[in-house]
Amino acid sequence: MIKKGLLFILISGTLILGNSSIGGFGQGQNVIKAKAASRETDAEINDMVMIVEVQFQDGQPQITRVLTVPGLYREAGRGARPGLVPTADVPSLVMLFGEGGRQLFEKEFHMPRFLTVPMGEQASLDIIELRNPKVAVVLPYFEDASRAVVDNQGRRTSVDVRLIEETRLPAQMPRFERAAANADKLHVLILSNGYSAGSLSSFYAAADAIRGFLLSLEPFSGSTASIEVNAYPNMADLGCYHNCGGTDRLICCNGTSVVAAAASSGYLYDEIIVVHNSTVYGGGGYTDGGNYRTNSYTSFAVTYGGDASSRSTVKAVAVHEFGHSFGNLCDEYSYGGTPGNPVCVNCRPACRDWSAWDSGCLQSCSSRTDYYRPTNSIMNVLSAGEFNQASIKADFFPDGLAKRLAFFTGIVLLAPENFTVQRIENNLLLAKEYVNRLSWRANSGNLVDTSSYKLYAKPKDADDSQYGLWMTLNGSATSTDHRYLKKNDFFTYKLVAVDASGRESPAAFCGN
Amino acid sequence: MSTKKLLGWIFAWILPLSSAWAGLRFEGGALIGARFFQNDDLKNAYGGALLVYPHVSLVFGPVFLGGGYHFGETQRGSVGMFQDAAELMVAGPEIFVGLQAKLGPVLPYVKAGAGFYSYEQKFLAAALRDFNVKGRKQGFCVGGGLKLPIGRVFRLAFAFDYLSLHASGIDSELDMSGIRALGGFGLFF
Repeated sequence: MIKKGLLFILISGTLILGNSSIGGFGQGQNVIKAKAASRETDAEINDMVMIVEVQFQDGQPQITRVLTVPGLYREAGRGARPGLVPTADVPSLVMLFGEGGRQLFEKEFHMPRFLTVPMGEQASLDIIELRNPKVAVVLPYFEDASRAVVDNQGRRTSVDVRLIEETRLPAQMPRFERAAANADKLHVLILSNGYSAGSLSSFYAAADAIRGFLLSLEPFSGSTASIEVNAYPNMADLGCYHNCGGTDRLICCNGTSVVAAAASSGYLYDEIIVVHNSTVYGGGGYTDGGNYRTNSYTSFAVTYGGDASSRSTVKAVAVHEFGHSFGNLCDEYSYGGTPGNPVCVNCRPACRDWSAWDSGCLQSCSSRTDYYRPTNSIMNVLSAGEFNQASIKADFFPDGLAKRLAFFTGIVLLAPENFTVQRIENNLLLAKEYVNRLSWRANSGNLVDTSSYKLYAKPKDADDSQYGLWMTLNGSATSTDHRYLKKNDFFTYKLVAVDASGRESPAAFCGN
Repeated sequence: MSTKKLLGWIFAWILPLSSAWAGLRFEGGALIGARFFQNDDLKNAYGGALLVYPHVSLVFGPVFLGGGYHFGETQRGSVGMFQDAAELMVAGPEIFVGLQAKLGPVLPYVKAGAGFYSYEQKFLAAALRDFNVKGRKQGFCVGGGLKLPIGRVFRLAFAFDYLSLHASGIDSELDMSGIRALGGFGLFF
């Protein structure tokens, strides 16, 4: 019971979780520190969460479990995100009530709609429609919560959380450091499953590869400062297994366990990638039908962990499945005409939807032989090494990767594109002036108009601290000249787009 | 051959010869005219310019030896791809030696000499101050003309010559050579 759980909370102690020194992770990054502190001094219980597991049966919700675990609660995409919330369907609602029927909290949520299968050597149906999905929703912990109610378009269920609550509190209760005040970031959490303490180095190596690969790809590469990818050495059983649904390369995990592990990790988790300790090729990715406003973490991705020899495949599988789970992207290869296709931005009835950004127009994709796909990408073949521009820049439902990323980061302007410098010699007859002609174009993935550009410059090879604001240009500008340069004057430039509210895009760089 | 040796050679050979003709005479005057650059960039930027050329000569029969000063050539123009406003000035002394003949009422002549020119290109925009150039360079001039005596003392003169000047600037060498067309009057004693 919750009261019983609180007794555990009163026990103070010190515990360090997730602190690894292997690879790029775990070194000073959000290490979860349990501090010896008295609970009685805290008015809020902000380091526990309640997880409500809801099973849908033909649209009728049923609350199957309620867990209380140590963890962080946060709302993704806090703050106004005008134009960034697609509305595919009416969300479900979970509400918490206290004694006397007083409503404590409510939260909209969506459920996974499809489960995707990693591509195989032969064409096969690589998508499974989840007709009766199960979803685990993380809620803040309320000490006096007594009843949870789930509403799915008028179809309701409720349960006395005091009766069915399942508490997983450790003997020594970890204390979480609060999330950073500036949480305008996309937080990707990579969770291990099935690794022992002795084999965690392999997990970290895989996580490092995934992180590096993901952040090298557009649109993520342009917002690396706003994307936090953490690896957490989860030791709990997430229930992952191969041969899910009879497909050997499909790895399924227990969604509630995954969400609980993420909440307990101490890291923030807008999106989750599970790395399952296996050398057998496989993975999976949930898509939620296009919604990313709420509980985006429930549509997580899974990849096998592999070993050193398969690292490049592992990272490609992870990013491909992330394309499904985060981007709601379709497979761009053809399953061979089997019906049943989620709405996505990269497999459409016509190419005109993306023709502004992507010239590709090839027939047959996913389960539709009559649909079209854009240029080759990692959603077509794992070796493609990039998402195509249609998948990145789509501004139509259910939105491309850039727009989805902006929902979390608040970055509505992307780094200017094609930012280049051309060295020109200006013949002043008795003198030679050198001119750096800078040109660029507004990123076609921008979600609002560019109001102005800030152009910074520093001497070539100078430290980044030497960047100085050189000029501010009108938002319609696409070029400018840096004049009055002598033969050996070389510079590096940083260009930032600014919207009418003063929000700045990530920077684009170029130099001599 | 150094300038001193050249002058020595001239005085050693030419003067004795010329004294046999008409004795030493003095000529002076001023010419005004225009300068035309042969370099297209210069021509496009500045066009031609009005200049003044005062000169004096010692005349020994058909031979004359003298000096002049090329000045007044300050031109405004628009320079480079951004058409920056600039001023160009070329000035400097010249020495020359020439030969003239008497053909009826006129005296056609040819001459050659050396010039010691100063040049300056100055931009009006302060941002281009670092690109202002000021220098000196030696050049030469060759040409000819006609002198038309009017009475015993006055002469009208017309000259047409080529001035060669290769200037050095900032990361730049510039051929400032060109044609000079002049006309004016002189006094002959």
